[in-house]
Amino acid sequence: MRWFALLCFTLAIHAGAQSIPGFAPENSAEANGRALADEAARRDDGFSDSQAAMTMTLFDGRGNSVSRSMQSKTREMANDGDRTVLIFEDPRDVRGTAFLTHSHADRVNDQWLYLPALKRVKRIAANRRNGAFMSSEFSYEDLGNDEVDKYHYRYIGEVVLDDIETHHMERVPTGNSGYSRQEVWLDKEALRLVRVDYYDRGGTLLKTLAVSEFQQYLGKYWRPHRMHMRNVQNGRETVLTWRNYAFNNDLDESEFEPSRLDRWR
Amino acid sequence: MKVNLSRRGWIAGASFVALSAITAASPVAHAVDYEGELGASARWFVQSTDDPRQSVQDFSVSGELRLNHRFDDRRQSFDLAITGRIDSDDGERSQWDIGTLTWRYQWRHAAVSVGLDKVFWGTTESLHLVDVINQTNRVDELDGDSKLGQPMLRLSFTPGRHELDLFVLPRFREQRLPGSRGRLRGPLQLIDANPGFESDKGNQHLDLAVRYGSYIGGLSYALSHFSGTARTPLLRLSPSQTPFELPTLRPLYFLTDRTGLELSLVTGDWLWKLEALSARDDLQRYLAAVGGFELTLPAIAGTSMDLGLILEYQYDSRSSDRLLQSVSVANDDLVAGLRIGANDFAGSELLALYSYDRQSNGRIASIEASRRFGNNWRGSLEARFFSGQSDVDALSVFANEDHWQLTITRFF
Repeated sequence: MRWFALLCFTLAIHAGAQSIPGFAPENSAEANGRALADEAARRDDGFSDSQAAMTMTLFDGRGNSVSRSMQSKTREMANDGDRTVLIFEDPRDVRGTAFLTHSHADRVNDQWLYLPALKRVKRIAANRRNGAFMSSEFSYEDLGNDEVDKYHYRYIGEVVLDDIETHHMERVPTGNSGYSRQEVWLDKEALRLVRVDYYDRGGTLLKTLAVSEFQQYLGKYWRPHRMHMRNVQNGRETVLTWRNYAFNNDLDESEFEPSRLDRWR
Repeated sequence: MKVNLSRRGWIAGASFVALSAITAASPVAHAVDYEGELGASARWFVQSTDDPRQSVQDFSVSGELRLNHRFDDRRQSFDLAITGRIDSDDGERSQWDIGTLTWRYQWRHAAVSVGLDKVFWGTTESLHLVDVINQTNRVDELDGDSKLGQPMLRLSFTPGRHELDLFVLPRFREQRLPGSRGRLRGPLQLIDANPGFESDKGNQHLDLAVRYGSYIGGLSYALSHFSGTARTPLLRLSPSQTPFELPTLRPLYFLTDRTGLELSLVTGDWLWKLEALSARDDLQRYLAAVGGFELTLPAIAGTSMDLGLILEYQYDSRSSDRLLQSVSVANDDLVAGLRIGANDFAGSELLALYSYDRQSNGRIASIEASRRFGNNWRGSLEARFFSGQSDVDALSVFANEDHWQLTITRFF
């Protein structure tokens, strides 16, 4: 029966790999994983810029919850990773605080925080990236580390996850990270990231992310409207939801400089 | 416990309650983009002083209102920010100020703005050495973060990662200092009603400033130059007019040229910071610097708390007896700090700083803790303790000024 299982696996890869360049069964699991990640990234190329309203709800695992709101703006860069700014609206004591990320494919991201009370821009140390973003279960790293080159990949196989047919693979961060490895699932239909399992530096499962409620924009770009992060170690959860997505807003890359962080309100 | 609230204190308390009720009850008018805050705070001083006019507690109400208007497809903006405080004891601390009243036009890589505004320069935590555009409002908060709005014409050029700012500053604003009934002024009563100026134009001297800043990878850097009236006065002793009067200090504002350097560098888990200054006062050119690091350790010991360690060193080439005449005291000081972020719903934070003057043995310990209540309130508790100050340390004026401060702020 062993040959049969092997055959099924090979066929499955073939089925999922149709139309994916460089994706062939004779390639290694590493090459297959990388090819999938490249293709998923390629399908998102050319969106130029986007903005959306974001709500973050924190659950403490004891029945209490609290909501935060912010605006998110993203600018695609020609030869570099995306630039993203998050502008906080609520709670009121941090209103106007802005968080800027320049993500890079080949090195650590640059991150700045603008504090409106002092009109001061501060850099964020690399290690803060492993720290909690706004007391949530998302770390700074989770919010700006999706460049393909930030990981080594290994294709695991096909699985059906909550009635969705998916590609299952492992990715290991290449640089400084709060994680030893991650397991990711991409749906076969459009190579959208639908789930991530995060393993801490000790190799133990730390968090599980479920991504859902996808909508397509400009007939091409898929955006999730819900991300649900569960921390399995402390029982806390965070739900991110998006609304009012808008593309082609003429956001200029010069607006995503630290010197301009006071101009977003 | 006997608590004496003066008439002004009652007015302050009543207006806080009334304004809280109004802002909580009325629906926010969405047509105007406004926001603000209203705070009530109490200070308790551990020691009483020899001056019977000073008391061991005071109460105050402070507020800020901000209006922002963007128009012309966001190219133009109008910003207004008004702050004010009513203090139960110190008439000088009861004050208001227009921090921002600015019109701005933004091009793709340049901007021009005219009006009153605030500008912050600097990287370090324990001292804002390079920061010079705005006058510090010392009577409002002791930490130097409270500033007065500065009239300016500002031209900004921002091609890519580079930033060049040119400032024309037509009117100088004097430092505000505590009055005779206020605390944290030392044993000598300061007269700020009649300051002296080196410039024969007084506070009308046209000050100029320029700053260039940029970044490459984890390194951010900036060079700045300021030519004009020094923001920090030298304090000169004036003899008593009659035997019954206390001697006074007269603030003297000299013209200065100062060149500043700001650096910050991210390397792995460390954030390195440096500010350096070469400046001229009335007698000499001097060097001053402050530098150190901040190390942030996330998720300590399996909890969701962040822990930050701060260590900074402050240097000033002027000798202590010269510094005694100015309010600056950071000449050979080590500052160690601990920052804790609880990452709870309340956004609880704690910052503890310990400062040690290696020449005078003067020490300052300070703690600031704060947390949110609901979505719109924040409470904070601050404490400062001064010890070991000898007469050569300018901080000796604070020898009997240990205090606690409790503040509750409503944001709307």
